[in-house]
Amino acid sequence: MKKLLVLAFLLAMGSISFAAEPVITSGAVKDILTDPMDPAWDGAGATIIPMAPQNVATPGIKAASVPSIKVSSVHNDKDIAIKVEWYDSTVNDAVNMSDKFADACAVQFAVKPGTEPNFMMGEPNGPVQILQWKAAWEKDLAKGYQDVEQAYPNYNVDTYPETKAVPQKANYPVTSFSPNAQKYIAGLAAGNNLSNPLKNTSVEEMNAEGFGTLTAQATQNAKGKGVSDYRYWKVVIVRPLDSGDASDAVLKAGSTVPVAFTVWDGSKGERGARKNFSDGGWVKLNIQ
Amino acid sequence: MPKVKNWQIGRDMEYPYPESKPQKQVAFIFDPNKCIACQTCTMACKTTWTSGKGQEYVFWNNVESKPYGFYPLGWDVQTLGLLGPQKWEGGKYAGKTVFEAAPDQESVLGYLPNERDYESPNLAEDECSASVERGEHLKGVHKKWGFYLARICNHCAYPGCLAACPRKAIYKRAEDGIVLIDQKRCRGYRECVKACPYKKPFYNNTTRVSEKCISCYPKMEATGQQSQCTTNCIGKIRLNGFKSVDPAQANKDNPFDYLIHIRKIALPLYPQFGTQPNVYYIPPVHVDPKYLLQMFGPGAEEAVKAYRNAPNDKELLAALTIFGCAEPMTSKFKAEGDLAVGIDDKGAETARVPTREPSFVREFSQKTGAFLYNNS
Repeated sequence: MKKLLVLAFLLAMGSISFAAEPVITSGAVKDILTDPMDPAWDGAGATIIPMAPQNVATPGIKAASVPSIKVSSVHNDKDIAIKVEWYDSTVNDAVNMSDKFADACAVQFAVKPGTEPNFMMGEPNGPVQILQWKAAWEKDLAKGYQDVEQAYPNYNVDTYPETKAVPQKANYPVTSFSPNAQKYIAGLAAGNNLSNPLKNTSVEEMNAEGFGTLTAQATQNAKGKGVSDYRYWKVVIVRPLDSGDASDAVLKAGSTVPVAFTVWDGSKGERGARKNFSDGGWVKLNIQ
Repeated sequence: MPKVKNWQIGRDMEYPYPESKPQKQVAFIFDPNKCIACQTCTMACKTTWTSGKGQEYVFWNNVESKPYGFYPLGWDVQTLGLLGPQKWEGGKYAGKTVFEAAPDQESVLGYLPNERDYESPNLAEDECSASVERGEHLKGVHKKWGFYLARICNHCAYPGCLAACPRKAIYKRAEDGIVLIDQKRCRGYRECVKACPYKKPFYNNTTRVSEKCISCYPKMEATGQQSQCTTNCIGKIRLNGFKSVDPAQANKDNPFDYLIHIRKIALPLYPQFGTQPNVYYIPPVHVDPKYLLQMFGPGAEEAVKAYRNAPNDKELLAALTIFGCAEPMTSKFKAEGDLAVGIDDKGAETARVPTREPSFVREFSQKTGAFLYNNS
């Protein structure tokens, strides 16, 4: 009997938080909130969204490592800010070591208005826009591009071809490489966003039309800020409601659009398709 | 999962993508019997391709002292351990490949090395299978063995890296079977590093994307020459060129087809992994046959016999002699008397070399009681 009561209680709890389809409300504010620690977020309300393990496409994960996230949003008719919060006992922000992965979260919109393509990375002719905040890029912004000398402070190198050390130091930041020497840094020379040492945002903007199609956008106009606050990641992603970029979703005040979320725990080796996504897929975002 | 034909394990096997064969296949043959682990190949590759920032620990080419040398640490025994004991039934592999043994939520059975596994590129250098007791080498032939295993990317027919990349950023070129990582599409997930049983893709700590051996394709395309690791090998242990894609099409004039398919003397490295690798090895003759069976498959014993008999086998001797004799790729060979002749794909000679070094036997001097050759 006792067990049954507990079960009934759990079910009742479930119905309060999750059974009703969650709706995120984005209220209008005068100034957009870009800092996750801004106390003004307290007035924005919050929605709990349960997370599920991605196990449809390989590779995947067997169980969700982040059970739920808390989402808030505000807009000022020009920009929209989305705040994502989740519990993570470890801060993982290094991707400059071969076996390390970093924490991250992402927000996804359908590019074509009025459509709900497959919530898992969209579908052919049903593109989605994905904004991924990366703890590693946040660290790049705060402390400079994290490279070999940051991962291995005691490392030693004689020289690299076609480079000169920064005077007085055996130190070779990639930004000091001549244009000719940079040609030999393959990822950078190929124009890969990940390899670019000059970061001006912690959020990467991308499009996808199904699994394996994720592609970085030519125009990057999203910003973000993430703070680890007492083992909770608190991340704000800000983007223009209407950026003028054809590959971005156009968001309008007074409308409700589908939005989906993903969270990665770097300490568990999560990256790419090994991730937690908003259970049930698309969630409603009501832009007031 | 689609089925593909893997001739190295003598059966069809599961692979995430259907069969798609290149027009020809880049191939390498290494002869560990001649390797002295001088690492000239390693440095030729390193200075050509991976001397940049973020590549400090990267060795697209490495030479390790077997049985205890590894780079990264334990790469082969770790994957063998994950697979567990498996069996060959004659020439057919009765066990599971890394694709067939893939666990839930994975497309390939593998592991991601710890960064510390890359700490010692030449660990156990010159160590042999067991310690040689004091004076043992003076008492006769002892059974302790060791050999040097030179390794590069195998440009597999069914690459583990390609199978595991969720972004299809890895591709096998239709024109020559070279396996490459698209540096713009790669997002540094390291699924390829995890999946490759040979651990030959490496993560670049500076660019945050993965890189691997490119079979020196820019050199090959521009000059028709063999790879840097091949042409710089001072022991002449390597041959780099193209083999026929199907064993049934093997051409006996082609040194690769001849040594791999016709004489079956050059064998794949760990064929049981199932990736159908395209770097072939002539098994080292003095190594424990059980070890050779595990490392090169069931053909190892016969290959050793044939290799030992090479001095009496004119054609085989010619094929083995053209190793390291020319920079251009050799697509045909022939034995002409005591000469080995190499020919490129345009019909021009690449090499004409004697199969036997000229030798001179000194006379024994009764006067001095020694093989001396002076006026003493």
